[in-house]
Amino acid sequence: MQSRRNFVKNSLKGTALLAFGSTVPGFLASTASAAATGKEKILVLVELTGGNDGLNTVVPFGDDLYHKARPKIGLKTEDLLKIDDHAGLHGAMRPLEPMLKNGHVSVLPGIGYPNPNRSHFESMDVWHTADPRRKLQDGWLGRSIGSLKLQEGRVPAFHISKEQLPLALQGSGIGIPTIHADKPFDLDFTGDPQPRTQSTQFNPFGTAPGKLLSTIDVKSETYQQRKALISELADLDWNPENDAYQFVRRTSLNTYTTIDQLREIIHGEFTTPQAQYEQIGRAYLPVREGLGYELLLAARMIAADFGTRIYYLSIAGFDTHSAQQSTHQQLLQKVATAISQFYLQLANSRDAERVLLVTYSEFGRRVSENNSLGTDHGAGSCMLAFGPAVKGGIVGKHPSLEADQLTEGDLKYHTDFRQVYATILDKWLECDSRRVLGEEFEHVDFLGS
Amino acid sequence: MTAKLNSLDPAKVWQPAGTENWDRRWAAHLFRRAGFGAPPFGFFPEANSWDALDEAVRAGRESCIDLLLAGGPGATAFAKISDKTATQLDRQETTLDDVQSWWLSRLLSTPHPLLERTTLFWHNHFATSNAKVNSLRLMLKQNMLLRKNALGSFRQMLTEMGRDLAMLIWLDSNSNVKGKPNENYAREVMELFSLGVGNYNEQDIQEAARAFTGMGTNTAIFVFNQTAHDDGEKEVLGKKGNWGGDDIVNILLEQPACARFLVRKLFHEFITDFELPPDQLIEPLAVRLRESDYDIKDCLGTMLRSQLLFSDVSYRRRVKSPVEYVLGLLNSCYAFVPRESLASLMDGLGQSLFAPPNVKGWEGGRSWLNSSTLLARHNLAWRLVGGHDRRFENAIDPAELLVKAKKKTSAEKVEFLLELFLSGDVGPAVKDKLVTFLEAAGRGTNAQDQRMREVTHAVLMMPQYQLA
Repeated sequence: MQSRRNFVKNSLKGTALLAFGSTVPGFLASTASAAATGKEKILVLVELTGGNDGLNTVVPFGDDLYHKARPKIGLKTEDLLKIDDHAGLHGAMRPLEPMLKNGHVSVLPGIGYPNPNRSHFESMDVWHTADPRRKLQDGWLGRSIGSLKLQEGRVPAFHISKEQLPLALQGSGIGIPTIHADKPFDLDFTGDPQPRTQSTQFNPFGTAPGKLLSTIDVKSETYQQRKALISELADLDWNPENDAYQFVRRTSLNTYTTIDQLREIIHGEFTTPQAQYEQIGRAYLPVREGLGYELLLAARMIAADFGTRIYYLSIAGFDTHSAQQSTHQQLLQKVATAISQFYLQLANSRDAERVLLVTYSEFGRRVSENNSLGTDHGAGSCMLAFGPAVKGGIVGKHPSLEADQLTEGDLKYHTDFRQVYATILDKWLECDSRRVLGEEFEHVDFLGS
Repeated sequence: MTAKLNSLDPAKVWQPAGTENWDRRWAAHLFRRAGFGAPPFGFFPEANSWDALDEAVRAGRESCIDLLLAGGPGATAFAKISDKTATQLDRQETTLDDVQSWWLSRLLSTPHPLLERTTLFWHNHFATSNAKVNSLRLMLKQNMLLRKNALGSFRQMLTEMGRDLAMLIWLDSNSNVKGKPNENYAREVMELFSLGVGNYNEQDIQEAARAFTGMGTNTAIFVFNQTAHDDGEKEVLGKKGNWGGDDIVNILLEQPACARFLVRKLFHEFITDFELPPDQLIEPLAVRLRESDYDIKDCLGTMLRSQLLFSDVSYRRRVKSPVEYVLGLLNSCYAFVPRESLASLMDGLGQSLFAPPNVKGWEGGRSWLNSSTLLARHNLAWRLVGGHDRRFENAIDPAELLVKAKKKTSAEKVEFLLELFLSGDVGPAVKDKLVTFLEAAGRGTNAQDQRMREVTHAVLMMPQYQLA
């Protein structure tokens, strides 16, 4: 029996990008530089939008000040998933327990930047541009794309989301595709009034690999002719001076080029042996929507040797000003389930070693709870990193909760987030962090053995 | 077109455009910006969608803009009927879809497209979502507030917004009480509604939040709770006093940053969203806006008449929003779609009315288009043009359109479609390619009609069509 990986590989052969001929966008050729097939390291970034309460995510339970600052919404020590004798993860993150035990979870506390901005949008922009001075208009990942090593003709980054392209991925000069299973990713020439109604269903315990659920016949003459026509029309330049036009033109060509390959991945069935799910507890599974689903899409693309180096995802709702406990509990459980599921899938296709997943949020929250059983916008917080490639456990110290060690009631950061970015860029993505960040940053020791 | 704006003369470009740059192409440009695609049905009585632009050219730029600002024939009567329809939506079983369809129908059919267009602009400015407000009645009420002030006084609108029930819920005003201020409204009113980042500090927010304490709602009416109000002295933006909520509005509007911030947003909406204007270009209009005590119509009128709008800097240099895309497509051939189907047209395009993604609203510009939204637009166009989707059956029938317009040869037909949808903004080889494709169809009316639909669809998928 052929392996799943081979199956996907073979099934994609007929629709390789280069079969598209003369309309392959220029960027695909220009960013292509040698990289060994199937060996690239991959970065998956997950943004926790709204300002995740870092203090209730990685809890310094050994510190009395924590319990004093959080009399009502503080977490009990016995409910935590202990990392060491001082700190533990929120109990909702229990699906991560196997990864934690294997040393595949790395906690980076005390991350922040100078003069923290407590506006969601401003602080997000700081993280996305990697520029606390707010002079740069484009994203740090966007800027890194030009120097990424890629297989010929591959798409460097994907945004898997229902939302708009984040600033972090902007500025590469090419249209980074956004994809999502709930959104049509087909050129529908058929006239089927409700195409692909089954597309978002999948059977996580299924065994039949890669059966397409889409009703659209891409091999038909009509499809081929009409797709060729629209691609050729988009390729005929109208106004080289108009930047808006050139942007739409690039986005169009990019889309038409990758569409056939992607649709197989999006609309095919998911298959994971049931035994794998048992490892993290059936109570949490299967996740059929949201982050869990989106990460599974990424896992499929990775398994299919799609050649993409960066995947960007997000999950929203962390702005917990009031009645925080249940909301935060549910969100963290979703995140933990999604990530553990993702790595099971990757282990299945033997890709886990080359995938680093990192979570971050635009800011942490105030140390003291407010009187609506919630927390207000804060500053310094923690990042989490996952995968066999990380050094397990806590990297560096948890910032002090002593009143005189806080800045306006918020945790004082000791590590600039750009140090983490620099580490990822230099050691993982293997592109020069100084070119992307504009200056040199000391690395944070969370990768490799 | 890089950094074009830096080289412009701010004293000159806001002057009214002269007699040049006024023909079908520029009239279409005006109606894409100040309306939704073509002049709305009835704007020029008796005109077809394709003749309406000729009427506009004949009427002249000035009278077109006057008409856009004041509203076309029947605007008052239309508003009355549409308001009444809205009150009928105040029922238990009303869904978000119903309310969206109501507004889309108004956006599509209004004889006063600029008023609706600006109402939508302010919806994005004071972006409030039913996802949290959870009351369609209050969302509609806010919509009426926005429309009432859309071309009026920004001072009035900002003051009323402080008492708007949906807004009070949206930004947690009820939990903003003396001693435990909730900064949510105070922060957004400065960051997103009036000044923009960099024109206030954290302390200004904290002090303003104290001034807003006690302003809340019981979800039926606005309630001012005196005991929850902090009546101590506050210092906001350098002004000390025993301020309440309305005082903060006055303090904000005195800031030169406020008018600049608004003009920048209007520029982004009406001129181009592909280049940030330099300060000196914004300043003349910002001064004018302040001196008129925030008269929106005056400011927008100046923008619409300007040489800047009628120049390459602006022409097809904005990505159409999903609303502009959908309504423009229907308007360009006066297509009919049943009202209850309108909301479903917007699926997957990334702009769900009454449900913006967050308080910053839809970002617009490049972010409207990515692979999924582009494909969603393409597939929607085919559902409208393809003649197969029952909900929209024959919304647009190109063959019939071409008969009415008396176009006979393949070349005439293709030229007509390129003119109707793209004002002829295509490279030289496009027409030949489409004619070849059209003539490759089999004989027989059905095959011909089907091929005509395919050609039309191909025209609508060209990159130019995504630009306003």
